Amino acid sequence: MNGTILNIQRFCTDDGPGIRTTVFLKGCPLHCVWCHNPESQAKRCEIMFDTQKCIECGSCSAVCSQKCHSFDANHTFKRDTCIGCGACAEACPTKALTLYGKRISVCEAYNEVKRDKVFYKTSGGGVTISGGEPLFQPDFTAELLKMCKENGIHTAIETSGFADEKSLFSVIEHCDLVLFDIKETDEELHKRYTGVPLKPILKNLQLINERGIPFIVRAPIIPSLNDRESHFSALKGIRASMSFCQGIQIMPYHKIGSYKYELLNREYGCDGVMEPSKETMEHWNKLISYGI
Amino acid sequence: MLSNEVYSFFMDRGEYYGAGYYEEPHKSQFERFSRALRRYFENYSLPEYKGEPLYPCGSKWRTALVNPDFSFTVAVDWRRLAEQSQDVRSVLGNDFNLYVSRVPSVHTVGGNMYTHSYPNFKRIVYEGFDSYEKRIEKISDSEVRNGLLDLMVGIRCFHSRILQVLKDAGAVESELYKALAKVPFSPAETLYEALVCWNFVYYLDGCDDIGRMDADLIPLYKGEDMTEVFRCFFKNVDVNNGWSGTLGPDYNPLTVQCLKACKGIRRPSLELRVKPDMPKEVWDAAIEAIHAGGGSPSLYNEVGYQETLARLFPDIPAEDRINCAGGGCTETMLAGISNVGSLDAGINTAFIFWNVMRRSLVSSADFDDFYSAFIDEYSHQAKNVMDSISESQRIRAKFNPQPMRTLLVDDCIDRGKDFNNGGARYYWSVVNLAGMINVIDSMIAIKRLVFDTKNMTAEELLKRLDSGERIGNSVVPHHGVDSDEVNEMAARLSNDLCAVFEEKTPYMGGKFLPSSIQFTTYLEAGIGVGATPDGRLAGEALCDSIGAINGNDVKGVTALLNSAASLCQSKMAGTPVLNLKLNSSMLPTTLPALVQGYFEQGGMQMQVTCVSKEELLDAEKHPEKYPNLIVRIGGYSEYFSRLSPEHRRSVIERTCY
Repeated sequence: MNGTILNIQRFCTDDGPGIRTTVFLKGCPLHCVWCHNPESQAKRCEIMFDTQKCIECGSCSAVCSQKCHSFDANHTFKRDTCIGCGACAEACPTKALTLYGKRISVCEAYNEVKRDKVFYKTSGGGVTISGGEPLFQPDFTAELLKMCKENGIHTAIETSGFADEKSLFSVIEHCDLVLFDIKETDEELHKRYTGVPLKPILKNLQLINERGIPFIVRAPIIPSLNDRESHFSALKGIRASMSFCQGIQIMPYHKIGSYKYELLNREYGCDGVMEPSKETMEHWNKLISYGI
Repeated sequence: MLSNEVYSFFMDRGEYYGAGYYEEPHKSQFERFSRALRRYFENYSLPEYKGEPLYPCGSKWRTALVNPDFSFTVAVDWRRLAEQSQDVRSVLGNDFNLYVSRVPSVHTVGGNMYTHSYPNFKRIVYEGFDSYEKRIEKISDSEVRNGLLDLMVGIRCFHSRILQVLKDAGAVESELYKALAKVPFSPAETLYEALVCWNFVYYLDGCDDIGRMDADLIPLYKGEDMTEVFRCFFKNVDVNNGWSGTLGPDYNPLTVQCLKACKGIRRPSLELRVKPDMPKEVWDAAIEAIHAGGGSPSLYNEVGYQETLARLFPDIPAEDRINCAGGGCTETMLAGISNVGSLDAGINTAFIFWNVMRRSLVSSADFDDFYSAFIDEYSHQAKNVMDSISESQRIRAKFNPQPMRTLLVDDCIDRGKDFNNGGARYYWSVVNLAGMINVIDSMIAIKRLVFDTKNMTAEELLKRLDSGERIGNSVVPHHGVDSDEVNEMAARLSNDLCAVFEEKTPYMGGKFLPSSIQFTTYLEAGIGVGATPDGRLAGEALCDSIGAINGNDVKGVTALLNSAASLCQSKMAGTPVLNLKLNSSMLPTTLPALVQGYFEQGGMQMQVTCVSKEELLDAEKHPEKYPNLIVRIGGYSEYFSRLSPEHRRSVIERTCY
């Protein structure tokens, strides 16, 4: 069983309790306008191209089987014919080309995760499958979680919750904890900002609660987009109505990943949005009042 | 020049230690140095009393030319002496260089027959020096007996002069005066009296290591908060560039008081012995102290150390082993009852590797052939170093007694022997291994590039190293990323480096204990070492601890700890120091778990610097703004502003999680 991942990161302390290893999967059905990891959205392996670093040496075109790289006026990269093999990235002397995504088996992923088992034990930590969207590769996610659980490792996923029921149940049966993102509580705005409807997400959250799986709501708050009082009230309503909700964690907007859109030749949807001040974040935390 | 001329020379200049040595030149070395100490303490320049809870306070007295030295018996400013009198310099050169270390200079990384120690503070506190004098009178060796009795005269005079200073300052009714009227000659009966005694003995010893204060003082504890008195004592340690002290493993309220007292103070370098069930209260105090800066306490695997010492020294009973402590930077010794070379030598393994690489790589048939060539040469040089240590010990035993340590460390009085000549209950020798991580990374690079993938020939590797190219930087895994291949190499190499120490016994007995304690010497140790295929250019610094070379630990702190744990640390019980820099926000939530996880895997020691990178970068540009910024370096704490620019950069580049 193979999956496509972005990265396996050790010593994570913000993706669940204790010291954790987070497996970031590639691919997400949502396309949130504020997403700071746009390279995580496409399921396929893809190249990020930093034109500032390019010295137009031509090493990439020499190894590209799909003829994606041409040098007429300047270096042009044809993204739609790229198969994501990574040969150009390996050949590039300046790292102007970087491959994001790699195929990995469940066993390979588990072998990396298990290395920190002693620290999971001493800290109450474990493994978190994140992304991207772990439910977008349900078979891989379920297998990996199952293997971890069988070996005594605490399991968690960080999910948008957008998936069919079958995929959801196949994964959550192996979860000790779910970190559940709620991007927006207004149906229309949810569709506009993320590209998908809200209703199935809330339904899945209800199913998780009915299954008795503890979860934490993670709420990205973006100034001028979803920082309304009604949104905070709706989040609190979710908390009040679901007994297995352990709390709400605000994820304040930041611009850290915005530069990546240019490297992917994409437009950033939050140009002009300002990062919240410390006082604003304190205000949000007061509004939410059921924070972690 | 005659002895009485030398005597007059020193007397005229107020150099009482030097003069004392020449008072009765026909006497034995022990008696002469005892007399020197006596005159030193009889004329000790005492500072003004300013109302502190302890006295003496502040810098210990030092004259310009000749002073007692707790490591080498005597320290001489040879240059200044030569400026004043070449004749006297010549005489002293003949007399004081009877003992000279025989350790090859290339293998003195971090140490050259240094000796740190812990006086038996506890015994003096609970028995008093009057009882010591009775035991001295029973010594059959007249030289040692006479010398110690002479020294006691000097100590009593010192004590009387201290009382006079307090009297002159109008402090006769103070608790300090009342305490000093009793201690250190009678047993202490209160915690405060014990601390006053402890401080006094610390100054007698020349301000080295501070003992096991929480463990030894708790019987006198009756609920007092002595944090401020501890802090006063720690400031005395700091101003005198003193060294280490140990806390635990039976935690008590004084453990917490000491941790509170050390916050933000550079020295002593406190060592907290961590057990799996260490109470939260102690963890909280430790984390708060680390957070405050200064690098104290460092953290020690109590179970690991006790098991290792029991295995290495099966004849040492548990009641002695419990006194396990790191002296100096952090050389493993037994407080109050041992004489441990700390450090006796520091073998530059990177230097040996570089020479073998140049000599043998081209002709090596395969990797194991090359590896064996390195181990053979290393073993040969290590044995030479061990022989030189033994020879140095033999000569020192004859010519460089330590009367003060003979008085203060057991079992010298009862055996009637000098500290350097068989008096201490236990002896062993700690030897540093410098450059071990550089060798591990270099071996991996050579194995992969030259022998496995054959990416380059041996000749090409050497040529590219000579041309100034960094080899091995990005194409091979390094120590610190938790790679199975590198971890196996680390285990193999560290085991082989340590194995040779089991083949010889030091002249004074015990064992040779390998360690990895670099403190500031990792910079200079690289100067004479050419380019190595761990990504290092010629002359660049060696690795500063058993962690990764700066910048190589790219997979996070748990990967680093797993890598460090792959070394055979129980064989490096002299202490294998691991430097770790943690972001201050992560400390409370992760440090206990990281420490416990590391220790469970065999990790022995960890020292944490907690400071933000922004703070360090600013301090690098404006050191004058941060006079109190303290960082932890290879076993001890130092003010960041006092480091050389190269050291400051090195500390900053040490990865911060």
